[in-house]
Amino acid sequence: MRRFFSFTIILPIVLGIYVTSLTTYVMLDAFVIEREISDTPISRVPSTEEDNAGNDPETTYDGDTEAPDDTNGPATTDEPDDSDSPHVTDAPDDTDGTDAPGDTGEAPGTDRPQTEEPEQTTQEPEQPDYPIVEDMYYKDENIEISIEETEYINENGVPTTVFIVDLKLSDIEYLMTAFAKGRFGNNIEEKTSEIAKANDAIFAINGDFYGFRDEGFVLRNYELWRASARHDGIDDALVIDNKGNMYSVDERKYDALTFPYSIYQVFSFGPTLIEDGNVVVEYSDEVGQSASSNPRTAIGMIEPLHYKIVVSEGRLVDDDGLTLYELAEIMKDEGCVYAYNLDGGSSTTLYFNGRVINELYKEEREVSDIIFINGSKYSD
Amino acid sequence: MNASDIRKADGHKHIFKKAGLRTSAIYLGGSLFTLVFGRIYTHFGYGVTSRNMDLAFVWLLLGTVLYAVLAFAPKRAYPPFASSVLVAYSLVCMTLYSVINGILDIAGAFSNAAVSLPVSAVIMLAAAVIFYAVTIIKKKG
Repeated sequence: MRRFFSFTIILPIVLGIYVTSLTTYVMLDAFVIEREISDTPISRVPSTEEDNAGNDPETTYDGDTEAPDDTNGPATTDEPDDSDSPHVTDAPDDTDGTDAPGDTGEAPGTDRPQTEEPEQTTQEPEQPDYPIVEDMYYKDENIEISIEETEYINENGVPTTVFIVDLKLSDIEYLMTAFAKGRFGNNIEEKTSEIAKANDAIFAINGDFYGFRDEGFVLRNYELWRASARHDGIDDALVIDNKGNMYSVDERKYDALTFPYSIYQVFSFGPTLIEDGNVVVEYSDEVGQSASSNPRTAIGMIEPLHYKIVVSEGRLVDDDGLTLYELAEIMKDEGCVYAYNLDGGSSTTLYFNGRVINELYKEEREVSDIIFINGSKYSD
Repeated sequence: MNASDIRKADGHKHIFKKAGLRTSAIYLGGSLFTLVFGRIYTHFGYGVTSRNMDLAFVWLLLGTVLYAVLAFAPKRAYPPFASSVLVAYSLVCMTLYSVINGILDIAGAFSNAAVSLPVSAVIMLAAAVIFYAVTIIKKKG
């Protein structure tokens, strides 16, 4: 009787403790325990054909045979090497700047006749004192960022505040990415603004939050960190190459280990919003199990080195948010020939010149990664 | 057999039916609680839904059905205490697995460790079946 009594008490208690402990561990594993997956990127082995490819955007290659020597992970603040870029705007030795990225004009006064030296009556144009930093504008010799706040009214007449970022670069390597706390792994998260400050960013947005799942390509600043493809419905990844081209690849049909060394960034969220100038999302499309209207972050390309980034508010009383289709329409209206959806919802954060620009419906979310422009060499 | 034996047999049958229905009611209460919890959690999830959370109540509903059937089954079919406890925790593990996956879906997170819950559930269920089989064999013997 005593044995029976103790068995009837002990068995439920033991099982109860076991299940409780297991549940607690699972929750800690999901939300608390930081797990650095790797401190070194994965080696890639591009095929010979891709290494020697021509100007096909999907296989553009700049002739280098090895990836840049940077084994310290992303979030480097080194100035990009733009010596091979066709859009270098560094002036000749007289150090004169240019008015906009992409200009390769000669310094004034170089075509005067040699026999005489008349008095110089023309004055050299006054060069701006770079960088120019305003409330929603930044410009230097290589980067121009302008942010416009506008309002989108949906078909129900509900407004949403939308920020349109126009981004012009002289070299794609000014568009950088960084991991939270400078490490690659799960539950390693930081606020977008904190990652941005740690990397002396003048501008930043949230990335694709790679850390919320254990698959999906992760290639940042030329380094491959995760090669496993997604299989959850949305399988297109955003690829940015060293010429500034943006396009999508189907992760299920692509081996990330064979990415050419010319591939600069790869993001895994989606879906692709615009391709070849056409909206490719359906009216009813949505990301996974999300609601239709949300805060959104998306990046698009007008042409290589000229990009648009759209950040919308949402989940607020006076800000409904955008559907994917509405987001795509906005990107198309801005002239994008290609656009891709990044992580949205509570992750959506637009950081510029030391502050978060968009209104958040709750406290700024900690994320795995950001996309940013570094302005450190111009900080006071 | 005398009248008191017949009354005793009827009494035992009454006890098992009562216990079965009571257990079934407890499972039903748990299932309803899980359903309400899921609805409230999804409501505060800003429209983000999860099929796991929506269907988490189903596991305990299985327990409701099981014990409702057992309540009207012959006495010899009633499971021993150990089997009942193991089945209960097995269903609890599956319910927790669904709820946790729902939370992870809505929060945008994941955990590889979550798979330990259904694995534990299967082991407990297997143990329950073994206990039940042993009891049946002993009774027949």
